[in-house]
Amino acid sequence: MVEWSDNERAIIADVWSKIDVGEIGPQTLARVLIVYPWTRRYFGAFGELSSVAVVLANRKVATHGRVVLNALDVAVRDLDNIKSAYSHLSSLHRYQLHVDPANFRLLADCLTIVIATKFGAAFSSDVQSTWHKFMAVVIAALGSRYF
Amino acid sequence: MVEWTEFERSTIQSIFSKLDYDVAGGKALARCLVVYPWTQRYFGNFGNLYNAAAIMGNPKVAAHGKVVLQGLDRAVKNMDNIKAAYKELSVLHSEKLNVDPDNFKLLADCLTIVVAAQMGAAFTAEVQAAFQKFLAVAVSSLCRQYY
Repeated sequence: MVEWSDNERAIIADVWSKIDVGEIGPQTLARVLIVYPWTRRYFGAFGELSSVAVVLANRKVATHGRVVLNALDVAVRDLDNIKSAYSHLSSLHRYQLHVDPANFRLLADCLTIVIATKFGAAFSSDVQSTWHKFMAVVIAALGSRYF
Repeated sequence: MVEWTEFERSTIQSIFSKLDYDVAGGKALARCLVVYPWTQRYFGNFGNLYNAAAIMGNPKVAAHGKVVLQGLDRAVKNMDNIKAAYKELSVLHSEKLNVDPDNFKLLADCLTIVVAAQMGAAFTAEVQAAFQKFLAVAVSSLCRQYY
């Protein structure tokens, strides 16, 4: 099981409390679709995704970005049981959505970058370390039903 | 050969012109040593690397960070032939320093976060895409002579 120090718990709670899901979710997903364009193949039903401006303006992207980021709340509230908390989500991504698990890391990277742009110097190396660990645990949990 | 759009060229030049080479390289390297602690094994003679504070304040880390960023500057100034510009550096890292090439990506990620934190909202999705493409080319060129 993953061990979290008190300091790590405090950092994760603090970062999460400062994140506006309605703002950060859309930005994060948009960045994934822009920086790693092959990910657009998962969103055939979202309409126009052919250019940066169009992705940024796409309302389905924004809505879905919120859905994805809201799901992180489950992990934040249950740090000690992320793997079991995400068991259903992992099966969903594997058996229904057929998402290559490599993409979880791409989304986590973009989320980390968006947080860095918002927090500036406050995204210290300690905060980055802790957040990186949290993302790694979430990614592993989401991939846990794949094999 | 890598194709660069006008936007990508000007973005890369602009980002690097705004970086304080005395500081940014050191910050990125320090983050690497903090967030990915196994990388510390390459710096046995750097003295105190026991905790984040020690690493962030270590003058050898700062000095070496500057060396690394100056190496990146060579790619900035030779964007149309980074592969050739990095031939010797690649041989150095593989034959002499014996650096696992996975580490290049780790440092690139840390530098991206330092730049994102500094630029804030100006580090848009398009800027991120251009910057990550540039770093990917630099990393790939550094890996060339390994095989």
